Amino acid sequence: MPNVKYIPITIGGRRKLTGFIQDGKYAALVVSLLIFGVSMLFYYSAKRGRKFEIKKKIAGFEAIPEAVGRATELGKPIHGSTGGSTTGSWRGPMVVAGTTLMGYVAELAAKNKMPFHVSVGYPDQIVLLDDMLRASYLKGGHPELYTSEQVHYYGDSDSSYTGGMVGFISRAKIGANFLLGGYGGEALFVAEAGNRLGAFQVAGTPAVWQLPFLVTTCDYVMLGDELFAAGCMVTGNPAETSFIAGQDLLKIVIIALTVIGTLAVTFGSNFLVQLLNM
Amino acid sequence: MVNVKNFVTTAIITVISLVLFLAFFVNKEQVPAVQDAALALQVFVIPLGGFALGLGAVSLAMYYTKRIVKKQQYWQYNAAALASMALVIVLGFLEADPQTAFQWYFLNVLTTLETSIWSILAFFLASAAYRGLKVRTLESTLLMVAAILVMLSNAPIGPALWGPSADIGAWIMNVPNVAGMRGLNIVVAVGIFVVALRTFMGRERSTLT
Repeated sequence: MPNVKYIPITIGGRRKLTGFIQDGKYAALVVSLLIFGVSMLFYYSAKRGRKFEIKKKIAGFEAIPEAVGRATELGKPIHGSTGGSTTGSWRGPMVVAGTTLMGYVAELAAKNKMPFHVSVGYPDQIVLLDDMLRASYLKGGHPELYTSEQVHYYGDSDSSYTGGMVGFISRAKIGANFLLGGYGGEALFVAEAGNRLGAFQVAGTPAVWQLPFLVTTCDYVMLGDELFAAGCMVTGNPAETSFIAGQDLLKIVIIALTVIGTLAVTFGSNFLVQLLNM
Repeated sequence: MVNVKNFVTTAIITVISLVLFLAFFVNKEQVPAVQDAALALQVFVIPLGGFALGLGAVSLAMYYTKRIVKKQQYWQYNAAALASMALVIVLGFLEADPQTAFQWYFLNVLTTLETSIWSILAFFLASAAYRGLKVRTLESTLLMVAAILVMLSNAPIGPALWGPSADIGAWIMNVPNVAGMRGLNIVVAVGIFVVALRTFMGRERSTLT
């Protein structure tokens, strides 16, 4: 057992905090616990049978079967990528959400007996996507159509990943392209290569700096957190979609805090700024 | 029935995530064990990565050799990649000062190739901007006007032609642009946290297929 000592910290001459948490991180911890608490509350409510109706439609998510169908009609292969980010980076959750959606695309491709190729930039994604695609082809009823060579690894250098992916898209003359995950500078290259071939392109990334490039080159784009929401919607399980309801409640809290903070600062009080810096 | 593989995987992910999460918040002086555990986990990645690198090089060489021997589609690219990998390894072993050889290879081969790839971006940006700035709706008209103002503010000729363009361009970038980006970033942060939570709970399909 570690030798835990609690040293009281004084604020304004009065003993208030134990010092267990680093200074300046109290507010971050409270916000984290709030997100955790709300998400768990909604999840277990849904598990107990409570229904959360998700009214919003994500056009990009709903266009996925259409894109796979278009590629099938044309008899052209389908391509996907989760972006040039590793699961260990800050874009990791984007890659994870993108990988889940790649599984959905692979399942649809298997049902249509179509080849689905995925380009990856980091070794950890080879294993994740190989496993995901294999399981999805099995779920789609045609495990014999999948081979590990459908996951293409081009190296973790941005230029090698970009060049390899653009090269594959051009040579294979793909019919549909799915860019779902954490994207950096490679977004425009890949989307433009697909656009020039006339491929049906569905993109989605929370990496906001890449969104303008994707919007101008793709048919459908999931903006910001829509990618995460789509990742929850894939299963169709109410317990999974409850996370979206939880996120929406948290958005309302954030909007309220933003309005309160803006008004407070406008009228000369920075209590919220101080509170969040605790 | 409990899926043992999924249970063990989820347990490992949850414990490691929890340690790293706590290490971000707790005071090192108060609870050194948490910080030490987090550090040990991060250090553990180095030998693991080194082992994987060696394994990867051997695996890659075997895979490419198989493709070259069978003369499969695009085997020439595999041959070039294999030769390049071998050359760098040989240079590293033969040179008295490996820095010189690596530096030469880095500057004259890798950097040149990378620069060539990124130079294409200029043309892609132009065609994407052309599509994005087509005037079709009120929103696209506003987008085009904003884009022209920002371009004018950044180009030296802009302020020379029309003085206020620099201030207007800076205002567009610093006020409405930042406001929109911050809103989106905050919402994305919540989404990232929820995906992380789902992964800890083993609810994220991609980690447990």
